[in-house]
Parts: sequence; C-alpha cells; structure tokens
Amino acid sequence: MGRTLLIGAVVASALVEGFWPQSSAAAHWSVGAVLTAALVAAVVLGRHRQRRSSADWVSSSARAVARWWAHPIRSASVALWVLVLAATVGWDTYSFSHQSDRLPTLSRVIGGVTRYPLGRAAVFLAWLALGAVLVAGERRRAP
Amino acid sequence: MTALTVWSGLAPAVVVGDAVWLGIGAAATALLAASLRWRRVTTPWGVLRWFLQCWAGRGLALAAWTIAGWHMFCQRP
Repeated sequence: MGRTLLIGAVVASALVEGFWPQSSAAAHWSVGAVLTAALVAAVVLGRHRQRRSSADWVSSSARAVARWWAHPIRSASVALWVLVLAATVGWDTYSFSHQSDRLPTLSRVIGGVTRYPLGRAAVFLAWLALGAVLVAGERRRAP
Repeated sequence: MTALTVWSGLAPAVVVGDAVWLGIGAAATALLAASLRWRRVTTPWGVLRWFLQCWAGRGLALAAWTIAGWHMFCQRP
C-alpha cells in the first residue's frame, strides 16, 4: 500500500513537472528541490553503508585493469562500454563546438522528446528512477 | 508502401549528426543485447553497480546525474 502510494506520488509529480513550462520558476525550483533532497538522502542513507572504501575501490579497479587477461570477455565488454561512452561524450563535444544545424547535440536530440509535456514527464520519471538507484542502490545491509 | 519508400522519404531529413547518433545508439543497443544474451558480457547495470560500491564512485555518478538533470529540465529551451 505504502509503495503504491509512493509510486503514485512520484508519477503525479513527474506529470506536474512535465506540464510546467520549462522556463518557469516553478519548474526550476522543483528540480532544485529534487536535487537537494537526493543529495541529502544519499548522505543520510549511505552513511556507514558503502560496500568498500574509495581507496580500496580505486586500487582494486587498477589491479583489475592491470590483470585484464584474467577475464578477457568481461574486459573486452567493459572496454566496449567505455568506447561507447567516449564516442557519446566526444561527438557531443564536437557537435557543441560547431553549433551547426547539421550537428545536433545530445541535449537537442533529447529536447525533441522533452519539448512535449508527456515526453518531458516520461524523461523526468526516468531521471527520478535513476536518481533513486544512485542514492539507495548497492548499499550494505544495516549493521 | 515499402520500407525503401519510407526510408527515401525520411533520408533527406536525417542530417550527418543524426546519422552518427543513430550509429552510437545502434552500437549501445547491440552491446546491451549481447550482455543480455551472454552472461559474461558486462551489462550497463554491472557498470552502475561498480560505481555504487563506494563514496567516490557514487559521488561521481550523482554529480553526472545532477548536471544532466539541471541541463535537461532547466537549461534546455
């Protein structure tokens, strides 16, 4: 019951956000409120509940890169994801630097969806869901 | 109406930048499909889980999410 109400409230807020004009102060304040709440929640929920320390994370990742041949398929697929991400960032930067109608940036492509209220609401909902995962996902169980 | 007819109608509207974005999207989709088909291929969730193991990775992911949200919903006209 509680979960259903929460989901209903989140969907309703996404619809409200979608139908507010993008340049309105209300739309800006609501996004700012979501960002503030998410960052506070990340600190409160994540305190003493990260799976490992940042130093351990960096060193174990460096060890995994150095020993890439131990898991060749996994290493190759990670390299391909990095390549896709680098291509996205690189092409977006190139397109932005040229400011041409023939070279749309990623935000202009996404803007083709978010200029419609329902599209904006759907993208806002997906963004909220990703934020919830980033804030609360992969934590250790409470001690 | 054949697929070729539909494509020839759409093709003039697709600029070079769109074609590159379509290519990047197709590559990401193919990689996603491979990761769902073969368990040893890393999924996007696997990459996300790697970031969320500690404060540094979680902070980086949250910073990217914050910037993306502000840009998409507050700056983009």
